[in-house]
Amino acid sequence: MDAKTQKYDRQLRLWGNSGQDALESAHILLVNATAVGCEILKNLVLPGIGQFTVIDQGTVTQNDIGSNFFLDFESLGKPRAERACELLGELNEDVKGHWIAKDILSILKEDPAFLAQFSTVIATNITRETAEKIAALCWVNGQQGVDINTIPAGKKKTAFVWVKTVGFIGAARIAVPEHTIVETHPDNVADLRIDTPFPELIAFTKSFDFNTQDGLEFGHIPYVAILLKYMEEWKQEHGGKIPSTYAEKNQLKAAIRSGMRSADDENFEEAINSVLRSCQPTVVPSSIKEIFNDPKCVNLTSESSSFWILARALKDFVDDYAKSAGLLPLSGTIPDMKAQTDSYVTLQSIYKAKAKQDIQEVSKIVDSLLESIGLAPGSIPLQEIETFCKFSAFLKVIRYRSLEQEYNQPKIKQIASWLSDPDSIFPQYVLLRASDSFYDDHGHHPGEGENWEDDVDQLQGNVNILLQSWGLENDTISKDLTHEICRYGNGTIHNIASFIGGVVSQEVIKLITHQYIPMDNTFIFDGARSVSAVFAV
Amino acid sequence: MPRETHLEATIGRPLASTISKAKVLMVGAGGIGCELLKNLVMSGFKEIEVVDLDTIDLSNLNRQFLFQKQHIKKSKAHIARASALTFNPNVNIVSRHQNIKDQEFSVDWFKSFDLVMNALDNLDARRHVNKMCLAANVPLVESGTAGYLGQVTVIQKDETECFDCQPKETPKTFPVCTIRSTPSTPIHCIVWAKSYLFNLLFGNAEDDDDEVLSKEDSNDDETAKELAALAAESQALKAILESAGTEGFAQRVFDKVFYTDIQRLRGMEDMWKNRKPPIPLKYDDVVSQSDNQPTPMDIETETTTLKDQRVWTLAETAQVFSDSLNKLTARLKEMRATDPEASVHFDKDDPEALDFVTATSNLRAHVYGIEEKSRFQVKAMAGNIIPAIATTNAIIAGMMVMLAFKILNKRLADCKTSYLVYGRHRPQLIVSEPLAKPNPKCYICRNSYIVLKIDTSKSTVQDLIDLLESNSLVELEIQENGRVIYDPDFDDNVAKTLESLQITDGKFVDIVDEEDRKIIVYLKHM
Repeated sequence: MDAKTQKYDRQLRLWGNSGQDALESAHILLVNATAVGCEILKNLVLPGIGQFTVIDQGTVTQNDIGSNFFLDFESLGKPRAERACELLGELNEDVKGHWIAKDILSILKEDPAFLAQFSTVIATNITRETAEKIAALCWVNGQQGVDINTIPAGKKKTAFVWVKTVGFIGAARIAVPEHTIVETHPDNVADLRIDTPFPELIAFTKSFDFNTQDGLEFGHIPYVAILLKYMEEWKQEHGGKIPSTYAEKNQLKAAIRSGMRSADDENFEEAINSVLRSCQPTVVPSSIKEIFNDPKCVNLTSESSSFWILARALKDFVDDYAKSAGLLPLSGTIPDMKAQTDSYVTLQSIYKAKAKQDIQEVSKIVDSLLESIGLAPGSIPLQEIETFCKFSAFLKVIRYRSLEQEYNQPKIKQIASWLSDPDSIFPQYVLLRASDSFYDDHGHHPGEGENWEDDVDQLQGNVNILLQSWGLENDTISKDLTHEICRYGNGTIHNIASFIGGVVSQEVIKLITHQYIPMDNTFIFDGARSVSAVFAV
Repeated sequence: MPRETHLEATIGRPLASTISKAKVLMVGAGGIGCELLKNLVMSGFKEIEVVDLDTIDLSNLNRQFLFQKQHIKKSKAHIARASALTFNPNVNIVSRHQNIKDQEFSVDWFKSFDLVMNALDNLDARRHVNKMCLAANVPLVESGTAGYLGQVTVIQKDETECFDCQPKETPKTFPVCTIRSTPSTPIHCIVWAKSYLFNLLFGNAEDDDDEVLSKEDSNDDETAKELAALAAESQALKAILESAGTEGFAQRVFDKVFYTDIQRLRGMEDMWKNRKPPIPLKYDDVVSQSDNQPTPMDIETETTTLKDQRVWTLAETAQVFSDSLNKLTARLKEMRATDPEASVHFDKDDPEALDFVTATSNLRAHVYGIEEKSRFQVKAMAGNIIPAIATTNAIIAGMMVMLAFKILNKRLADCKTSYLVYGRHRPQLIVSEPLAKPNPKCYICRNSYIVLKIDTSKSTVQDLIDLLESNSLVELEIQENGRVIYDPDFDDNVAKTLESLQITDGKFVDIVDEEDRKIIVYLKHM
């Protein structure tokens, strides 16, 4: 085992080699080397992203050192970008760091396509104006003035993450037009098809002698065979239907129980415990049907990403009833159960063989689809098709709302309902939005002036303007929170920065690896009240 | 502007001042510990004590950022202290490279802290610190992470649930005969390789049976006979050990465990009436097939991913078996040159130990027709590996310090238990709930704790009973760590000194009286 595998061992067990490869080819841009920005990068440099770039035009101050662990006394007066890059780089020799001591807006003015080289742009401590500018450029991949809808779907997108911390409050917003996930890491991919057994499974069940006089043999009939035997008997007596009501399911349980010879027959217990799940009819989940009906699935082009080509192949497979019985490919995974080694292995190979057969069918469809859109058959590797089939019931597509939509097409009804809950943390979101407006009006953050209390009324004014724009009453939010924000005076405390840094980097890893489901789309945290929530604003 | 100005403005001057005077104990300087120590020194804490018995390993570096390559094999506690001090030299950090269960960390010592923070990775130490904090009546911030999941909570005697109020899952054990004679799953073969064969070859004579083997009732004649035969088998293997280091040693061990022993087992016809009997394997037969197989050199040059993640061929497995056995035997010989009692313990991050366990468990799996596993998979199963990353630890450590602020601010009621969750169907990342009240039936925290000063070398169990009875506790039952020391029907120990029963300074003794009152006595030798 080489040193690198050993160093990354504990994380490889979470996201595997494919996740690690994705991380190692990622290039992350951090705008502003704030405390929270450096904490985010720390958590990304440690697991080994490929490269990072820090952009910050400022120099290190006493204030920075007080809250930022990665800027030390020796850094005083030096460019923040340079020092952050150096000290973060020391954490992992496999990661390449770059720095630019310039203002991000002037860089973008010179080169609007600058952002397209990064997989993710993380911006901290920026004004709304800058955020909107960066977000818009990331959204269209740095191609200013291009209509989003004309950007080829398969092209790599730059994800934008905007992070704020003020006193005890922190927030993070993800914006990316489309994020697709195959490996969502569901708890359980076992897919037994007791309700819709295939011929090999029925033959397997029939191979067991339920009248055997040998107690050991009887006690080792795999529960799948037991369940299927009683389910088939039930179906015969009920016009081919599986139990659907609670009472019927209990009857099936009772039937299995009556077949037990002693209370020690664990295999029968396993069968009884699986009745409820097995009586859920095997169908294509509605979330997957939605993916099938997505225009990107229906209308493939040579620019389609492999996710959509595979989704379409899956749809065509399901539609071909003769091959699929209208069901998704079998996952091929079975749970542990009490059984003799050889019968367990046989059962495992029956499911695996059926899964393989499904994969072959899907694979054929994939190749003909590739050909139909002018791509080479075989250009999607078999391994990718296998993974796709295995997790086909759990695929996920997230379409984030853009910043522009958040500002110009607010979800007014949803906002009113978020605010109507007295325990909601949504007021903190409103205050952060109002603080941005306050900055636009006054050129400084709330509470940053000589006397913080002077800003309270002004900030409350900004809150009310926002509330009115959503058609809400002025006093929907208590003034206590406005006071609190002003008292913080835009200060950062390390612990909040570190916590938010952990949350943001975790979501960024989910985005980069395309594994697990990242949050959609805004995380808000209030440390004073120990509350957090995610809102799709 | 001084360092803490922003902090003071945000949390308020009184709390900032309390924090600067608070004495905090941090147990564990690993994944959560590194984050926690950084947060504490950056949050105005000035008096911190860190205890950790562990040393730094390469596999820590993907998250434990206070450590670097040059620190491997050094004390986590000491290096964490040194690294944190370079960033904030104005903090007093005491580091101890010790086990928190050591006697010197007494209840009085725990009492000297305002707050204890657990950054541990094992049940045993967590249970111990829980008990000590209850006995010392010091608030405890408890934490844990596993992959993307994590949780934090606060334990305060009489106010909240303690660590043991809810039953915890205990590690699984396997019957001896399943492991030694009739394995049916890969984990049975791995347990055999790691807990039986590894210890027998490289351990001390005393630590024979690992705790993962649960003893079966030997009432059954068959079982008793089989256990006796197995014991004889182990003795025979030990005889072969005498020839360690000589030519053909690996082959002799191989043929003994995969041929002779398997042949004997096959002879027990009853055992195989309903099972597929194992098929014995000879070293020469395996190695002779290997002419067209890749040699170990090829394996070494293969990409790591492949080598680690594919299942080896039988010939490769036998080769790895003999290579790792020879290397481990040589290492043991070298160690015993200076310390005759030395032994090699299985460590999942020790490549040779892992090679050996992977090879032997797969050879055994082959013999029994059980699915073979890759080294990557064996490592996870043998080492009980829990995935660990920087992000989760950062989130959890951040929440711990937030709780510390509230506890020191005397706002226990505002503290919550928080879970970092991951679910396909929930949009939230963190779920919080109010701290639970103590479980009235909890044996650990619903008892009275008393500290008893006694001369454990001179005092007998009878003296202890007299002392307790003089405090109107009658019809006693006394236990120590689950072992019955005394009850009205068992008085064998009354004349023995406490020390002779290993009841010494720092031990907890559990007392139940006739009214079923439970008392936990913490002994202090004087």
